[in-house]
Amino acid sequence: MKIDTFYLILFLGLAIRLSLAFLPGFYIDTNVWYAWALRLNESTFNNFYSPTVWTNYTPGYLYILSFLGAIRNLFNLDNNSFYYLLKLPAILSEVILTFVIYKVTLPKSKKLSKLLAIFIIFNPALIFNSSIWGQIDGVLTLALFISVYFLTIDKLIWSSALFGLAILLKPQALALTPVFLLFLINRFSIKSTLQLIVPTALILFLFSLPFFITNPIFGPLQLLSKMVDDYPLNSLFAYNFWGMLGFWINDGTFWQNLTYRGWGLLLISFYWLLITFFYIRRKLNLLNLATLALISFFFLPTRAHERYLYPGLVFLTISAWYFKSRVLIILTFILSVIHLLNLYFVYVYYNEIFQHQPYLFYWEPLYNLLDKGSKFFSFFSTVMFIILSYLILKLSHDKKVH
Amino acid sequence: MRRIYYLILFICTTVVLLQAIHPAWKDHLVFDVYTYFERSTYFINHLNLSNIANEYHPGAITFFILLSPFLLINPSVEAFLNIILSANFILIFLIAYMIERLTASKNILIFSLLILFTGPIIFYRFELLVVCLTMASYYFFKKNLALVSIIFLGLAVLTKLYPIIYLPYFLFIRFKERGLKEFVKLSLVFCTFVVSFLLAYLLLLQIGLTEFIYSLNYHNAKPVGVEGVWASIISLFSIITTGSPPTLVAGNRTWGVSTENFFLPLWIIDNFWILAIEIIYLLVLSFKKSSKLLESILIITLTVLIFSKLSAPQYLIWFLFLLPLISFEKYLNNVRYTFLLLLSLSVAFLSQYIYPLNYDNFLQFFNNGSNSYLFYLNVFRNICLIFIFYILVMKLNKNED
Repeated sequence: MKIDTFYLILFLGLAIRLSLAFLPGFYIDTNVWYAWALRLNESTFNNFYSPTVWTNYTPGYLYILSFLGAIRNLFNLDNNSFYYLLKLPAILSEVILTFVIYKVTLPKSKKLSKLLAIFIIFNPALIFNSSIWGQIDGVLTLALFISVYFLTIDKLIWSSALFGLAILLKPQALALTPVFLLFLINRFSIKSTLQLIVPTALILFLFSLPFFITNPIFGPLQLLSKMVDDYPLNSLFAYNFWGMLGFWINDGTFWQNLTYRGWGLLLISFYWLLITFFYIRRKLNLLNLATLALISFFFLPTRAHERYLYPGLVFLTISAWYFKSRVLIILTFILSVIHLLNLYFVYVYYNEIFQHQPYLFYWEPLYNLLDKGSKFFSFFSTVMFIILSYLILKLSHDKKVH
Repeated sequence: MRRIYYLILFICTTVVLLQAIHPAWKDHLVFDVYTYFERSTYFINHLNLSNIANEYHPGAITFFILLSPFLLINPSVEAFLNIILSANFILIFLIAYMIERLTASKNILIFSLLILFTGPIIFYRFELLVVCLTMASYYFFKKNLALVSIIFLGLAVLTKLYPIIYLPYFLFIRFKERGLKEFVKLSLVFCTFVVSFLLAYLLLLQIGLTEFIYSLNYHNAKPVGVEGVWASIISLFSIITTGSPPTLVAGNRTWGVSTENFFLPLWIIDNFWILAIEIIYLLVLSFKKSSKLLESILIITLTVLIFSKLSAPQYLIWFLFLLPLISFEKYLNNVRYTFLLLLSLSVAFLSQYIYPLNYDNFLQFFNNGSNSYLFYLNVFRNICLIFIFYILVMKLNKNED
């Protein structure tokens, strides 16, 4: 018998996550998962969405919650065990994500693939997101990565189907839309257009149907619109471009005759014009295009939550592997640490200050630093974003030249 | 990769540290730290330890005293807890360094895994110090620096008595390799060092001989530890013959089980481990190869853990944290060693699951028969321990590399 060291690393990553999952999750999110899991088992899917109960969430993850709720009822789990169970899908997704990334990158260099896997599985920000906070960005990122991977190997139907699933899990997946659009522009044909659009549309329709039997077309769109308008704010604690102005400011606020939201859309449009230029000149591949798409979605538009950086961090790590760039991996690591601090601050603020849960993570000097220094951290992160974007474009150019 | 392995160790240790401050672990584990704090505060205030009942051995007390100057800055129990946590944090990296020097940097991964599965108890006790000293002794022994090795072993014995079980083995190996002169020299060095340290300790800290003997007898007077192999046997016997578990008995800050209805008298249980150690010694000494040194040490340690009536959960650390010294390749290429690692991780996790996470519920089984699943999980843990013992003995017996 011969076991690869990688599996031990993977096991260690899983063990770390399972060890931390005992800690209390983010109060609001885990209680929402809890309530929805029960609600989905008390009534039919069609009755899930309600104007009186806050249920603004796309149906993808609701299937998993429904399954977890059924397990709870079957085994009569106590609250602590159920909260633990609610964290497992994200934890397992991160382990599977690492495994898939390792397997996909393995043919190039075993050592580098192992390093890539280590940087992903032991990234403290990702660990915090799934094991402590209890969020499911890992599930989303798994779907996004596989989708992009299939796109790079021309398996368009699979890529499109996975993209549809990702949108169903979290609408942030739409951040990758420009990648698919540019792919189509670059390689336009009726066949590829259909291969990329039909599976996504079918998946979205079929999986939404049980929740919107009476209004299968407009129901999901109305839900999406409601979700977008849930938080009409510049930055929801996210250390991004808008965080430099402060958090929770209405993004309808005007500056130079344009709302913050408008400025945000303008910024991301300009960014994409630049990226399109590079892509059209064949200086960017799909993987790096996806990386830029995901990080820009966090930094430039308004209404971003602190957790939206998660998929971007994973893709940045893969880009660093692709370019074999030490600078890129170091910058990704620094950005991960800042992201971890971002998550820490929001977690402590809501759980331990606002909800008066017992102090567990609260450490006064650090909390005060993050509280008072949020604009600085937002500025610093934005500078990092600019440097990272420049670096990816430069490395792509250099690689093309060589 | 070396630095990355250390980074992974750092992450794993931080994870366990986070668990350590969670009430589910902390509320049970912190009580020992109160006692350490009490001893250290007493020392800081009086600069001696006379007139205070003390169950700790000289090495442990020295360890607390070395940490006590921090109490001059902040004389609170919380501050002392942070000092203990930090000291153990540093010890983890010292142990990792020795593991790396003795094997390969990859083995730090095995160590990290064991830390995760063993859990926060490592931060609230001083077992890491003993493991560190024992490992240092083993390290210098392997490097052919027997004198230094024996001094470190002496320090380990002065901190916790159990490493004394390695002394005859070390001496025997040197006797085989270098003859009687070396054997006598090392024995004398060991005795002189231990006695000198003891005398200095008793004189400087003004501890009376009675108090010192009390500290030696403290563990002897404990009941049959409720989580141990003996307790499992006694409990199963009681359940089969009387239909109910044995009654709980408390003594010297330990929960134990009553041996009233058991067919063996207590004095046999008290001393059975000595017989077991003797048999194991006969086995390990029958091998000529000193390359079996590590396996022999592991078996000797496990013999004490299985056959002794004392069974505090932290004692498992003595054995578990020596496991990373086994070659990494063995774990990955050999079914038995892979199995050995998995069993050891199960033992570590189940121990943590029972103590401290579900300890009150576990004890309830002995009071009213409820939560029997915890009792059977503990029985399973003990069976795993015996199985590990079996695997190691068989491995040694087959004389495989």
